[in-house]
Amino acid sequence: MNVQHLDEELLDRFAFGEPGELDEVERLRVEEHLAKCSKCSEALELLVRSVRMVEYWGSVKAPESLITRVRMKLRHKTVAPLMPIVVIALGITDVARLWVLAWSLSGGLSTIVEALPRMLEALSYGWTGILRVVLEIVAGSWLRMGGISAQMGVLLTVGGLVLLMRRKEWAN
Amino acid sequence: MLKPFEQYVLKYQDMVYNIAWHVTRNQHDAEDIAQESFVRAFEHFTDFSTGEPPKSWLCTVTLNLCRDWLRRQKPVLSGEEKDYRGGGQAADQPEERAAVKEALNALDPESRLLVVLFHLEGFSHKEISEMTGMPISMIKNRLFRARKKMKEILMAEGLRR
Ligand SMILES: [Zn+2]
Repeated sequence: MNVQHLDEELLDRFAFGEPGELDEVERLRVEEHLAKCSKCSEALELLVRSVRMVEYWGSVKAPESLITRVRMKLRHKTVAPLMPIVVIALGITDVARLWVLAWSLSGGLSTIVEALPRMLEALSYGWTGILRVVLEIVAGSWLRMGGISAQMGVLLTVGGLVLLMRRKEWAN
Repeated sequence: MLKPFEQYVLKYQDMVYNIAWHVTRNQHDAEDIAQESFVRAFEHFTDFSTGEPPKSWLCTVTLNLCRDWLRRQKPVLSGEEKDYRGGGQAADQPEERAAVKEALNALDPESRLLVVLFHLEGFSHKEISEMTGMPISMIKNRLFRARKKMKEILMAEGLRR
């Protein structure tokens, strides 16, 4: 007897088609055929088994290094916009250092603009010159802003520092 | 990294890496793609009413990055494939895993990707169509041929045993 077997594509759709893939008539025809045909049943079973094997063994898990890499990258990305400020704060040039120091300590753009020519001039005298100008700016603004105790504190601190620097110069 | 985003990465890192790895088949490039996928997700993390970028959105980003990666590869890749190794797995692989790798290796990258999306990640034909821009009929046809090929290889590898 010549039996018409189910073709591979129909079997595949029967096994892996989404709901509604086969209409009710088709589905019943496949089921009836499978019930009495061992050849097609075996073909279906092998197909399903092979796909289940792929589903079971096919996946790879993310290595632990991945989340670390993502963390690092994001840290870098969130820090990046702050970098110019950080770079200036750390000081690429003496002017940048002075600017930031003076700004953060003395309070105000005007002070810096005022002091800029003197800062630049001070650069030619090396570090002691620069520090002296900074201390002047800082002291000046603190004295303007603070009460008497703050003024005394600043005076003593600045005076001490200037003396220390002088001593170094004298030593040279 | 902020806590909710870290949880998001933990939730999807296997999916993203799995997809990337099955396309690139090397840990280094797969990690690069996965990392970049999450960086983009981070940039858009608050853009969604769902509270976080949806799974399919993230998957689309990964697929686009995979596509860029494929474009940069030498043409040899689509024909005779390079060896299917690595992938963050321990070396002691059972025979079944090796056979499955061989079966997946026999597929072209696009078909393999479809198998990964449909069978490993559980996306529907419609979702895959939306993510890849491929017509559903083509997706179904390619999946059918991919399953047929994998079955033949796995049978030859001793699935019958
Ligand atoms: Zn039959």
